[in-house]
Amino acid sequence: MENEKYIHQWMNDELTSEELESKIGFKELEALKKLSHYTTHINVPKENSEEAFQNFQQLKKHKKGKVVNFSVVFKVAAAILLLIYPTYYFVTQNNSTTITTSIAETKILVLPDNSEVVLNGNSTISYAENNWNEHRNINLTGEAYFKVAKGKKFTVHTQSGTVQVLGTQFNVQDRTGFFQVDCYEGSVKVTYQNHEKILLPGKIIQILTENKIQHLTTPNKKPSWILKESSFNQTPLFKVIEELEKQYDINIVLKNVDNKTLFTGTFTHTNLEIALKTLTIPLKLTYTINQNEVIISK
Amino acid sequence: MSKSPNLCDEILFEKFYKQNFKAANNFAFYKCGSSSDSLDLLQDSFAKIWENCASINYLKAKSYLFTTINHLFLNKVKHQNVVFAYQKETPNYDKDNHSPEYLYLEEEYKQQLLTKIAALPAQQRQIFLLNRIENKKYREIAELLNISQKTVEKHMSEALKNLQLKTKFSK
Repeated sequence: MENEKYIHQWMNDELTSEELESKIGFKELEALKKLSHYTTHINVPKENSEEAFQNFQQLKKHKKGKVVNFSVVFKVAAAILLLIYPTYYFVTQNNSTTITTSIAETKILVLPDNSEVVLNGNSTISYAENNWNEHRNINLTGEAYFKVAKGKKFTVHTQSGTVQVLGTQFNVQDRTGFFQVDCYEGSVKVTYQNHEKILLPGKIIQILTENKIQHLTTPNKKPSWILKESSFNQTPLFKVIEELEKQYDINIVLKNVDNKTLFTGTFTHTNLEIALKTLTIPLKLTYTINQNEVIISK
Repeated sequence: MSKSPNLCDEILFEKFYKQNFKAANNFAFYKCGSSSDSLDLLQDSFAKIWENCASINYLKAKSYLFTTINHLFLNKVKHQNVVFAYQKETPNYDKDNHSPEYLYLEEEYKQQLLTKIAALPAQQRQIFLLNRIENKKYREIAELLNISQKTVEKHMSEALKNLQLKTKFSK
């Protein structure tokens, strides 16, 4: 029992380590010190009193002098949400309209507020008709040209980003690995991941990947595909080829050609031969047509 | 004629809250081993004080706070598993010894110690950690917990025994 008394004294800083060592021996002192050493490094909470007090004030306000058990509040809220959400989802999503175009097909449609959408080939849009005048939300995959009637905020959601406007004309293209918005009138807000950009008339934003964002300009008043042609401004060749394949429903094979070569120009949607010439001649390439397959080579 | 200060005063209460927050939060943490639970315990305990502000003597409010934490712990969370972890940078006891064998043994020792501390009865753990981490004297701990200094000593001896120090007491 003697030793224990000394250890308690040491624990209370009433006995130095040297004194304790003389009582209990080096080995035991070391063991005690090691135990202490590692105990002091246990991770203790780092909450800050200011923040905690703010939260406490909130609790205090909710019930005068009585604190609500937070976890209970959350459980009740979660239960209510669980009950309400499916109904809400059912009501809002039930009457959504979906329009799809196949390759080399365009469709013109008029939205409930008389806004116009021209849907390019191989694209889909969907929107909910109820509440349309309150929330003009459109989901888009592919490419579409919008002529928006004046009114509440109009939002186009795509996988790559969102585009917001009040009343304007603009074109959105969201294809795999390629997101481009052209603004023709008014102004347009483009949100891509963390980037936000306001486009003015005649401006284009082209996003290949997060780090490759290009700002371009266009002299056109409408996207070229509306005029039955496609125009490109310093666009990588593989994007041009993709567009060509879509417009003519053909398969194009590149032989010994760098598909990242930049192309600037326009091709028509009405004649494949002419379109291929406008693409290959400036790039000093040749082409051969085999039914539905086109081979482009040097 | 001076009236003893009263915790129903918002400013005084805020001061009391902030002064005691850290110590009380750690106190609760040693008991339950979870920082979210300890904060809950603490907020509830402060709320109790706020509810009863008129009847609590300001000078005894601190000990009232710690006692309340103890009571609430018994009512609420005593059944749960306790888990402790080390800070990111925990220097080894012998800073100069870098042999792989030593490092391995120390790592093992540390993990065993954490497990053993977590396995201590709540009161023993709390007293042991208050003393070792916060350097509180037995006298201060006794005051906080409203128990006698002898009881603190007893719990401490038990705790050391349970942590299976190689140190063998007397005999």
